[in-house]
Amino acid sequence: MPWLVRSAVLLMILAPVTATAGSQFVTPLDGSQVHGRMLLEIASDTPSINRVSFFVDGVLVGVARTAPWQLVHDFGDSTDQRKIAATIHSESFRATETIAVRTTGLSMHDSLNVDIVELSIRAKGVREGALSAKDLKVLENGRPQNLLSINPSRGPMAFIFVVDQSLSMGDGKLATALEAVSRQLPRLREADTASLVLFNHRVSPPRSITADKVSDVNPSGGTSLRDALASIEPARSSAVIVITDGADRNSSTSAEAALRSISRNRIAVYGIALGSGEGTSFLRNATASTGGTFARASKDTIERELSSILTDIDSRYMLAYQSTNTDPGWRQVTIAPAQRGVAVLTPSRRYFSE
Amino acid sequence: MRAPALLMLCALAAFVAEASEGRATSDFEIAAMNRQLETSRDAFSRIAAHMNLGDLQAGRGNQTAARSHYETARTLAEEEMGSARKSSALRRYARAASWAGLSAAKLGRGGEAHRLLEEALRYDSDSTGSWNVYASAMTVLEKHTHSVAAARNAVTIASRSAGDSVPDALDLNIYRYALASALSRTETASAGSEAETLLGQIVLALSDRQFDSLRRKVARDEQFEIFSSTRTDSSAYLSLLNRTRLRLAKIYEESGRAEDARLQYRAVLADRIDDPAALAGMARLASGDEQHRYFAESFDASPFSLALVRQYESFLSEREVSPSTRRGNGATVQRAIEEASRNRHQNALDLLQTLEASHPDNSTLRYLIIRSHINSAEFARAREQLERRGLPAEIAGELRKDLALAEKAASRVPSFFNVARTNEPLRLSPDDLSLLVARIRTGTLTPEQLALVDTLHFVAPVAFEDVTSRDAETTTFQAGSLYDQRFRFSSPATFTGRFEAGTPHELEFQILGISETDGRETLLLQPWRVSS
Repeated sequence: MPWLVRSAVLLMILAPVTATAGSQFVTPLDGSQVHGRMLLEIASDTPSINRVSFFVDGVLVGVARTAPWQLVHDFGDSTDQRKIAATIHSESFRATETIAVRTTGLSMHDSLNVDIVELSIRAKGVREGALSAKDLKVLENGRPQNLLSINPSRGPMAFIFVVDQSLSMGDGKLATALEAVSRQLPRLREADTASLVLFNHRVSPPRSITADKVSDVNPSGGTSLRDALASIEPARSSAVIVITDGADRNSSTSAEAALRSISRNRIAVYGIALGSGEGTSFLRNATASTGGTFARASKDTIERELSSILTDIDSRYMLAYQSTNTDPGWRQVTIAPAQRGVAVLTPSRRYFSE
Repeated sequence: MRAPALLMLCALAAFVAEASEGRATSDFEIAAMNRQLETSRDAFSRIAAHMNLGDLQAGRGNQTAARSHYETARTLAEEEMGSARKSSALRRYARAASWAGLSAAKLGRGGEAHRLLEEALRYDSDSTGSWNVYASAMTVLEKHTHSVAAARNAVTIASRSAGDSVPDALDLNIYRYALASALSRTETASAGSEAETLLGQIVLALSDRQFDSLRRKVARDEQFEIFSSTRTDSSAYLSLLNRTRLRLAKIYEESGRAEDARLQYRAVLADRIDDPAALAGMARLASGDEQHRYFAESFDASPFSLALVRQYESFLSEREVSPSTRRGNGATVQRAIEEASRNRHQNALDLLQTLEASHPDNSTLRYLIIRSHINSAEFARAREQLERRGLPAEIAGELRKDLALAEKAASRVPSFFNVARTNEPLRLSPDDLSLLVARIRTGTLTPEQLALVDTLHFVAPVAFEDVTSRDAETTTFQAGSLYDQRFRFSSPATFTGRFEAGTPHELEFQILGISETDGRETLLLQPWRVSS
């Protein structure tokens, strides 16, 4: 399962002051950070100033009537970005001039555009947990890659259960699917998280789930699977397990856009199609593209298929390398054994890099 | 394929208004109707599609697009009349005349509508369909007594001739629904009671096993779209059931039977989670956080519903909410209303004008924009917007009235602008405070008035909020209320003496401007002295 890791740094920029010709902020400076009680002060050579009004994020916070044009403001505990402005009234309030600075919020920024790719793979033919970098060859768009690590156990994961609640999931299919999810939840590890995304012609926001049964859901409406998959925004390594019974009728997202969206993120998609499996080509493509698996099931076998998926996830190796490719677009990854006796069961997959 | 069945849904548009991009509810119906137009060559299918699209666009506040669809439907119906006349197909001629009459009614051409509808009845007076369309057109033209009479004729004819078939049973219930809708508009107690009885009968009838095959078809095809003019039995069944429940819920709601109304709204939402009328109904009946959640879902489902906008404005007049953080047109409209309720009219305008760039003819956006101009005393801009065409007459009339009142109020100034200045602090009256705050809020103080306010000291009774700190000889406060207006100081102010929070004190102060505390408008004062 590839996922793109971008190293994060805290940026603190001290940029030069920008202001109108005769007036400028003395403090704070443009691009600096503000926190707690701080002085707001401007310097101005505007003649006959009547008053200076100070605003933080558009809200008046105080007024200075005499020089020095300053006041103390309490920004509290927040480290958010702020827009600080001063309106200078002069010439008996006939003239007005406004200057502003924008401070920097204390936040994480992407600073390095290097893709660290992580994949989960299934391999056999070696002693359990003994697979090492020398056992595998990894090609990305045909170029050999140097493995950084290979780990026999997965780390904490986000499990996202994407369940079809369309009208055709009546006759107990939806209830059985949700029950199967609830019953399998105890198999997740302590550091894992689980959420449920329900979709019909609309996609509901993800909700956290515990072992309690989800019961307040009725089958209704159409099907928009592509929209549902494109809506997923994982914060970390994620397994998306889709349970659906039919073709997408209502998505506004195209198949290509939905595939890009899920392959770009740190996601492996697993699909369980109920019934005949008609109209499931998109789901098949999504699972193949992201290194997951696809299975058909009936109402009676949903839980068994779900259990197989969880077993599969738990038995995978986690492999990581730093991509030597820099161009944006689809990247095809091929993993082949480098030693005799090793078999890779998920030999190819792809991901989309921006 | 059945003949188009008309469900008289147009009259629901007053509270079922729908939306635009970002998967608003009516996007799905519009997509289905566009598909119908692409695939159908049958004149009545095309007419029905354009009538539906007109209703959907009108519900989204897109009056120009709505009129364009009604015009097309009118033209298609007229062409069909000509073609039917040539081939001496008098029933087809009558049907086409009915639809031409209804589209004329929707275009506001009452005389033409009457002429065409009478023409239809002349050739086909025993047709339930003609009477049904006639009743709908009379509702559009607000001739409710005529509408009831025509709908009764349709029910009588259908009852007399109805067989046991599913389509016959469905048609009879459609005509009953039309009669119930017409009755509920006549506003007499007996009519209301008859309407409720009819609607109850329809819900009961539609739950009969007779309709099992339609329900299975609805489930198999995952149908959920609701139309005013339907072309298939399953679509007619679904639309009829949905609208009957909604109308019943509205009757319950208006007669104070909140729990009964909730049951009906929930039943609608169980079948369609994003029905805007049901979501808005639940928002009206809910309280606390649940109410806010339903409002959010209503705006997502139907961003440009004027009825919803008014409902939310009324909700905000009694309650503070934290700003919406969702994305999409509905969330933006909701945020603009929240900003306006906090008197941040420029912020509201910025949000609305961004939306207007992609929805230039939307009457709900124009309504909100004009209101923001009026509230920020930009009367010339408000007038300029009002003079543009395309705003429905009743909305334009209401806004003109608001504008006149605002201009009159703005001509009043606080009394202290007209009195000779002394060195003594001025006693500030509630009326003068309110006039001054309005002028600061709208930025309509002249430089002279600004200069004067900047020097004036006022005295008025205030009640402080919690004591920030105190010792044996001093008390420190930072905020309180002055008449009905909240105020605060730039930083905590320490007064000599021991004062209690919540009790009246005389404060001498200067007014620095309007600030904000926790999203609420707050006066920023410079304190000078306090006395008990």
